[in-house]
Amino acid sequence: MGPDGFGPSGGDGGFGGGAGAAGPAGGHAVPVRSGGSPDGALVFGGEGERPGFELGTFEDDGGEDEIAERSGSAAAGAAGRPGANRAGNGSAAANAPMAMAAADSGSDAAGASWFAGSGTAGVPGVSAPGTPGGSGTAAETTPAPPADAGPPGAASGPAPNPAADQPPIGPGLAGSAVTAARSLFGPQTVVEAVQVLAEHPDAVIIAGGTVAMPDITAGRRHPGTVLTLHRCAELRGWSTGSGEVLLHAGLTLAEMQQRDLRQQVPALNQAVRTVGAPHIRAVATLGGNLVVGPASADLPVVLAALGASVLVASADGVRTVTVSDFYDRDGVPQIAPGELVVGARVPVVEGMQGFMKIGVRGGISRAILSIMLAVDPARRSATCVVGAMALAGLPSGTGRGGLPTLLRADHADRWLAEQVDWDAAAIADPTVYETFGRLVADSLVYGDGSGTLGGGGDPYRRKAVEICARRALLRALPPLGWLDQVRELQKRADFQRAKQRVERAEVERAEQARNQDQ
Amino acid sequence: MSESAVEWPAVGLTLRVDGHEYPVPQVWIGDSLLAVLRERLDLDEPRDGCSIGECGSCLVTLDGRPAAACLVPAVAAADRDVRTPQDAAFEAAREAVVAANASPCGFCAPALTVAITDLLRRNADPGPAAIREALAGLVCRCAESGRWIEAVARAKEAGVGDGGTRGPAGGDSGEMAVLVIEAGETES
Amino acid sequence: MTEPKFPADLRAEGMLWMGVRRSPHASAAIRGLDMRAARAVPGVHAVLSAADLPGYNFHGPRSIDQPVLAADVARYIGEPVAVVAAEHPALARRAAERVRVIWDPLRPLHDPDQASTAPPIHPDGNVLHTTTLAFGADPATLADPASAESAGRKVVRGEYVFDGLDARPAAPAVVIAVPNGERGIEIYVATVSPRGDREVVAQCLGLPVEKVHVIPTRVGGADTHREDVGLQVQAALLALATGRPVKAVVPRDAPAHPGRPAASLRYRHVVGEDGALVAVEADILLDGGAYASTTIDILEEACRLAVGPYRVPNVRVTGRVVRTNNPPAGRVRGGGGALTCAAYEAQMDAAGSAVGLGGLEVRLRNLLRPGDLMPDASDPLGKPAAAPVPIPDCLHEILDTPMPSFPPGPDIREYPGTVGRTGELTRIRRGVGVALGMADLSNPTQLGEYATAVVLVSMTPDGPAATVACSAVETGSGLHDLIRTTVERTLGVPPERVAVRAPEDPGSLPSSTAVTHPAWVHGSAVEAAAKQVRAKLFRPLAEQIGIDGGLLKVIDGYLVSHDDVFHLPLDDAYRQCLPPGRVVRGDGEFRMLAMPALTGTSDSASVAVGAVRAVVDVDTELGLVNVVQVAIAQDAGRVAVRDRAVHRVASGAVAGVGFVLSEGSDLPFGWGEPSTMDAPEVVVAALLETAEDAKEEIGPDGLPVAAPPLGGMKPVGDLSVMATPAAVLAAIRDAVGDPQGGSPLRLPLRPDRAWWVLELR
Repeated sequence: MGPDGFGPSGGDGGFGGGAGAAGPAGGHAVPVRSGGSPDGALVFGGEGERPGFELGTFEDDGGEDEIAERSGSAAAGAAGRPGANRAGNGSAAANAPMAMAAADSGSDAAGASWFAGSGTAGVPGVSAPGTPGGSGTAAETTPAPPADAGPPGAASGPAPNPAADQPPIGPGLAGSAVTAARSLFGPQTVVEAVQVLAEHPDAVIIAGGTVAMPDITAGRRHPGTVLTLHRCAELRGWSTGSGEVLLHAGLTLAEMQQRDLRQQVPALNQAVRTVGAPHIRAVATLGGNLVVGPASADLPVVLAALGASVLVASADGVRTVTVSDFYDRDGVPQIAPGELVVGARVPVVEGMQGFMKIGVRGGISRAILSIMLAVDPARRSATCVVGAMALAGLPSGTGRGGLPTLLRADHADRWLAEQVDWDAAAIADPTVYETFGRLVADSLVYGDGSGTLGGGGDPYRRKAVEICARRALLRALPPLGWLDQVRELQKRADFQRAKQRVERAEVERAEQARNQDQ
Repeated sequence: MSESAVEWPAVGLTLRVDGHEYPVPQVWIGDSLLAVLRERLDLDEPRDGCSIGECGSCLVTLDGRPAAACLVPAVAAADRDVRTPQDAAFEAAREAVVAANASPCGFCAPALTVAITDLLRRNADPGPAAIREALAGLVCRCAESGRWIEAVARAKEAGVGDGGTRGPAGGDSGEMAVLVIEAGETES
Repeated sequence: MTEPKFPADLRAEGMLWMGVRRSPHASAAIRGLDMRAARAVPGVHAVLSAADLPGYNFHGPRSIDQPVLAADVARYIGEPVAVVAAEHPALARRAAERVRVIWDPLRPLHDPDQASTAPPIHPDGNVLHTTTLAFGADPATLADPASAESAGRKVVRGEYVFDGLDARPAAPAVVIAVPNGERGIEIYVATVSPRGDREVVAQCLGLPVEKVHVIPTRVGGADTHREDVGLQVQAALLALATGRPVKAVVPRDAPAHPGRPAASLRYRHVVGEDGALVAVEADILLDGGAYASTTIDILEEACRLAVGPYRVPNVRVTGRVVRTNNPPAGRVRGGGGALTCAAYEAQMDAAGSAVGLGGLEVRLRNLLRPGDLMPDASDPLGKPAAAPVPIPDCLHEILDTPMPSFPPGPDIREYPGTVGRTGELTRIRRGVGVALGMADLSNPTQLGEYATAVVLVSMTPDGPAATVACSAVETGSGLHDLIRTTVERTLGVPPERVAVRAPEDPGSLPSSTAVTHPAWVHGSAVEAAAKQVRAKLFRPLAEQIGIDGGLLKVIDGYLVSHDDVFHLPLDDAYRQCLPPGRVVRGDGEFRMLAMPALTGTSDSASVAVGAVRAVVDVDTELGLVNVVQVAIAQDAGRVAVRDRAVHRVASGAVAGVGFVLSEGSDLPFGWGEPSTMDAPEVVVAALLETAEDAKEEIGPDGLPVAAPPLGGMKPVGDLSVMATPAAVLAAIRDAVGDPQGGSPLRLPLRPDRAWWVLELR
């Protein structure tokens, strides 16, 4: 059985080995510091306490810049814990890894004639915010190039297009309205990020880009201000604490497949494998998934079943809200302007976790429905959540149907908890499985039951939820003696497969021999 | 709202693509990496298939990890290591794709070379199921997946991915085995 | 060597981008247009509407009914109303949004069933075309319950509903229009019909034809069915207005490529106790969308192929294609045959179950044979099928294909539901289904198609080499390989020494309208040119033995005469006749006027048949299907380039799986297209070469040859698309033990439409 199975989370006997188990895994440089005490790794404060902005501890990447200094003082008043410890680390814009320079429109010879070249068109971006008109130092890091924006290495590339001499998009763009002085921010800390958001509540926040970029490219959103989070090391990776893991908002879906995290929260990997291609998972983030919400993302379902909470930062501090409360009935996340999702806190439990999804096609697909069952033997409870229902009730299956997108089956959960022999981690009564499935499906009916999820107008989802819940429970809490049966059946299946392979090979050999004779 | 109220902020940035440094002035902050690679740097091999992250045609690698260039803001790609399918690193996979005739019309061929290279870097010996899972994000209308599996086999023989194994952290978590037999049921 | 570029990869100096203001309404009158706000946007160079079009505002491949830009009424969501040229694509899109349209929304007509009675949404009316093909007695009387019962006949009814399907090639729809002074306007576009496009564009722009140059670029997606020509007109209009090149890219959320029409088919089969088909009645309704496009041809094709490859004495097929406020439909791979095949094969299974013989047995008892009547538009009494109809051979091939092992797994990715982790071994049932399919090669409503080719042969140090100049566009389907093979078979020049390029004079009229049968039309033109070269080149040798040069042919490295008396190694022949420096030119053309003239015998219908076996695993509770394997055998007539043909057939099977299980125009791009995880193992068990050796008939002028190229090649691409869905459905019926298979049956069969999930009934 592979690590994807419904094995108990934490194959090494469960979580509890401390943060030491959660070192960086594999080649992906997820900046998680594994050392330090578990408590020290999580600076969130308890309930009611005004927390700071630190999302766990990270190795300093030396990438501090002066925005911290500037915003540090500004933030100090607003936030209980200013990022003062981060400010003053020195460093300079010149060292900033991102070479964003002010556009030097004056020297840009490629400028189309109609371009109203303005001396103040520079965009300091992150390099020197607050300095109107673009800073000289930033401009120097990227000297305005000659008109030819073609690749210097064009000879090694394809045959240069004759038109490449003039960049087709080119400088003309900026002419429509002189570029804003402060329109691009690439903060390196959460403190800076929320500071920017406080000043530009309409800023388009881009982490992985999978959410915002299609809208921007299609013209549905026009960014006046862009806040990119890719430089914000604090938001990357994940960290562990006592009894929980902290998933940072910039944790990519691909990183959720890392073995260490998989062992603690296996359902994340299960869900992620139904989402997007490797190249989507490599950039898509937890934060993006949470902000998109259960109408089209799968992770909220997982996190809701695990009893996770979302951490939302703003200039006023960090608030914590359970995933279930984070969304309204339509699956729209409750985020105020100026707020930023910075992570999710996920309790680590030893029980089985199972995520299932039915898509519009096989394999990686949009969900017709998804379901997640988490069992917590320590608390003697089980939680089942059904999601991605926005596709329900729509003839086209393409948008929102005004239906709930994240549904809990609390009644079924409570009933189930009473049926389980928790000491044996098994269910004695074989009828429990069917009944549980039906109860979960029942809890999805609301309103008058017609034309709504699980009601008369949507029989498939009702049926499918019932079956998936039953199957999930069978895997999570099998009947007594079930494992032996499974092994026996699997042995027979293996034998059958092997036999057929041999037979097929024989047929093919005979075929070949016949062809050769001819 | 008049158009004058809508601004088109632009920045200059430096992109590092296939090992070359390209200073690019006046990039609109909403432009994707794909738009800049294609329209400003005239690099055609990240294809523009859909611009919305569905088809995978614009596959590049960003700091060694695969990414759909249409979903990456150009401003977020500055000073990161961008490799397009034209990079020498994908040459061997490209030859395998051609040899297997895996892309009849040629439109998906560049993305396929990147995807195959990335797969073999993560998983040195992928089985058919792993190959199908890894390549499922490329929408192609004229190839047949048998040819893709063959292209992966050829690329593997050619040594693609050797020495670059990133391990399962890269995203492929290997076999998906679960207990999948219901109690009391027997196979007929 | 630089590869040819796709249109999206072309850039020109000072290029502008097109933005389009599209209708948000399915049906709305346009009461006014205010373009001032859009024009005022800095960076916008032109904002134009229908009023700015100097020529004719309408186009269409059949019926000239589709506006380039909607002038007074918009008839579907996404219909272009105004176009913008701006410095940046995003700017163009924003500016287009600023075109203010005063809409007067009308009640839209979406349901094709109501189209005939609803108020007309177009001056030409709502019914685009009707057709009736019938022979024998009226099936209705034979199906009459009283008479059917007394004669021991069973009546099998079925209703089949297909969602529309967008044709979405991987490469997007892109046009670049470049104004070029005196020369006029150049249009770069991935088209396979530059000549036809050119005439339409010229007419719409009010320019003389010689001022319009349509230059075909590389085509992505291996398909010849592309976006409508209106896009070219829009881009050209902006380019002429601004004096700058304009690039037009249709975003994926806008309708760009007319796709397969939504359809509903009603069938009634009357079958005797012995399993013999007595009568078939079919009624076919297609949703043509707002404009006619090519849906009339699809309807005719669907009707001709409505019975399938079966012998039926009494047939009545009625068809209707109507106009609605849905996006225009058009031809995609498989055409009308993809609709009917799934339906008549389901009927055959139902008939087999009704008489207790089983579907396969009923099929075998009714197989079409040469001489049997088939429905045909050109002959009200039907048309006899021409030989060959090798269905038994095809069946043998697919049934001999080894079965994939069962059960699947243990990797759950091999179960229905794959990574969704829903799979349970004990809930998986395997099913096997067989379907027969038929494509007809005699299309009496075929539009005229035309191509020219020039073949030049000269001696090189390596041996003779040839250059072919023709307008055949390689889309990935292997057309250029076919042309090389054609030259090889005619002249003995190895493919690696055959160069294929566009016509040498770029100013010359692009000479192709070959859309539906490019291989046939171009292949024939090239073959004619190569034969002319052969006759000219070897004339001295022929004269020595007193025969015409046209009677010499190339066989296995020898030049031989028609009576096999003369026999000379080809190398010697070339040495004698082709001194270095000499270039021999041959000109060929091919005109396809009416298909019957091509098939040799206009009084019979030539068909290409095939058989498909699908193996599926079905999760019987959740309605999930995994197509494990598809095996195909078909009559290919003659196979020119085997690897390409096999690939084309195999990719058609994958497309067929998408048709039947997931794809539909209701889903955004990329959601329903079959991915590698949905694609089955495809076994092309056989491509039968049934064509007899073609008689070498060369006219003295080297002009039309009345046979498909290479003596009987048949198009191979469509049959697997048509018959795979039918086979998959049959396999599902087998797996779930329900030979009737639910009626009405609605496709694609997404999980929530799975008829066998009991609660859905």
